[in-house]
Amino acid sequence: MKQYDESGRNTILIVDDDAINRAILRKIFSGSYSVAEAVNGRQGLEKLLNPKNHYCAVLLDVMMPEMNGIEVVRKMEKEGLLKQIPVFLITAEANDKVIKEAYQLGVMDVIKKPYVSFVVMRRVESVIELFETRRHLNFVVEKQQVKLLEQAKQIIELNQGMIEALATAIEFRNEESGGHVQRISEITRMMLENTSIGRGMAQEEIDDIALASIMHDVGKITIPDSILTKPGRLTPDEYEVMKTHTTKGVAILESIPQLHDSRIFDYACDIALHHHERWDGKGYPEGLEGSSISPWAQVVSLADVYDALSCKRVYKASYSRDMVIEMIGTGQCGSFNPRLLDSFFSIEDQLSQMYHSIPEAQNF
Amino acid sequence: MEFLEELKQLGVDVKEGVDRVVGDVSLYQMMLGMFVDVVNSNPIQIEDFEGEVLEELAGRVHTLKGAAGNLSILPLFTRYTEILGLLREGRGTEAKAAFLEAEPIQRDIVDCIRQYQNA
Repeated sequence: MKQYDESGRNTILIVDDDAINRAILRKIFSGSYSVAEAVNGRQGLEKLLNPKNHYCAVLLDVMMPEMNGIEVVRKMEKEGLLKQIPVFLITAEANDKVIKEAYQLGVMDVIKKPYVSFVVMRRVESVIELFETRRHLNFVVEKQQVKLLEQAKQIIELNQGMIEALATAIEFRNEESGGHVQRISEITRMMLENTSIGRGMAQEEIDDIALASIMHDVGKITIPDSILTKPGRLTPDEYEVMKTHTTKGVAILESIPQLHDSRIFDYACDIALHHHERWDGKGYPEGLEGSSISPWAQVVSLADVYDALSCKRVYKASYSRDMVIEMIGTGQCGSFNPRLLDSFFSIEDQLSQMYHSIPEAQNF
Repeated sequence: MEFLEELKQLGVDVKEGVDRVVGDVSLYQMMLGMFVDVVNSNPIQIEDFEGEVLEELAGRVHTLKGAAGNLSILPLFTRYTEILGLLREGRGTEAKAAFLEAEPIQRDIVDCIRQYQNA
């Protein structure tokens, strides 16, 4: 008997109403395989559709009572069985039209009766071996794919962890808790997922933007402590230095070659450079105006303001929620796209939940 | 005369038939017995060719042709192949004539098998 493959298939199904033909085929194959039999097409199909049965090949007569061989093949094709089990038509009657249809449906071979035994055996065995090899290869490939996906997932998680660690380290230098970047990322995601601002974006794109937003303030690592942690208003010169965190942020990101191939690279650069631009063109560093500012930079910009107002900083106390809403709504922190503001206010109640239990937002 | 030798004399290609069942002579002989059953369960009469609808008759001829072919009973296989072709072309009279030739050959072969089955 043949070795079983991974699926345990070692049985040939013979579907033929002719007892003599079944007996001959059984004799030919019973030395190497288990043999199951059906006396007409309907019975054969029932056996094939039974999930308990696993066949390595089907030898099918064409002219049979109840359901002929071609009908069986059509049903098998409909059920997707022809890709799993090789089918051989064994017939004396098939005309060219029938043979052509059988091949088009996916029958592996058409063997004319009366046949020569060892030829039938070799032709059937060769195809069974081919299918077994293909099944085995698919099995190996599937296993490797699962492994590769796991590794890719680990790499993504590691990359995300490193990005978060870097951003958090910068925040600690800024004497903030490290929660700011996570909240910006979360607000960005919620805005894109739940409002019209993110309409048309695929989930993968939203995930990329949310991750890229974590690096919006990466340029602050270049700002001297005396300015970054100054507990009061910055002088105009100091403010000019502070503004450079946008351009320097992009320079830092561009200096990391590994990041260039990442899907988030373009988003990260755009957000780092433009998250202080304003709708009326009065932002920095480029003074972009209106829709020339990308939607993701606009979202991160608003999220950054919302979080900065809601939480205590070295240079200011936290504001109450009403005050935060009023300041944003009246443009006291710069103007925003009206559609963006509508989207923001539509989910602000949800966004506010994340500030209820953090000490930096004690007045919120 | 020995059974298989006698069949050879009647035109049966015994070697090919035995080869088809992977050299198992006793299985081949058992199948010859099954052939007699097939003939009995698919009886064909001269009158059958006189009807207008020959489809059912063609089904029986097809069965006989298949069984004869599988066992290399060549004289019957070739004649039933011819009869089936004629029936499918609607040439009933010619099919009947061909059957008249086949009938005594079938009778001799069936008699031979029966004789040795009963021995």
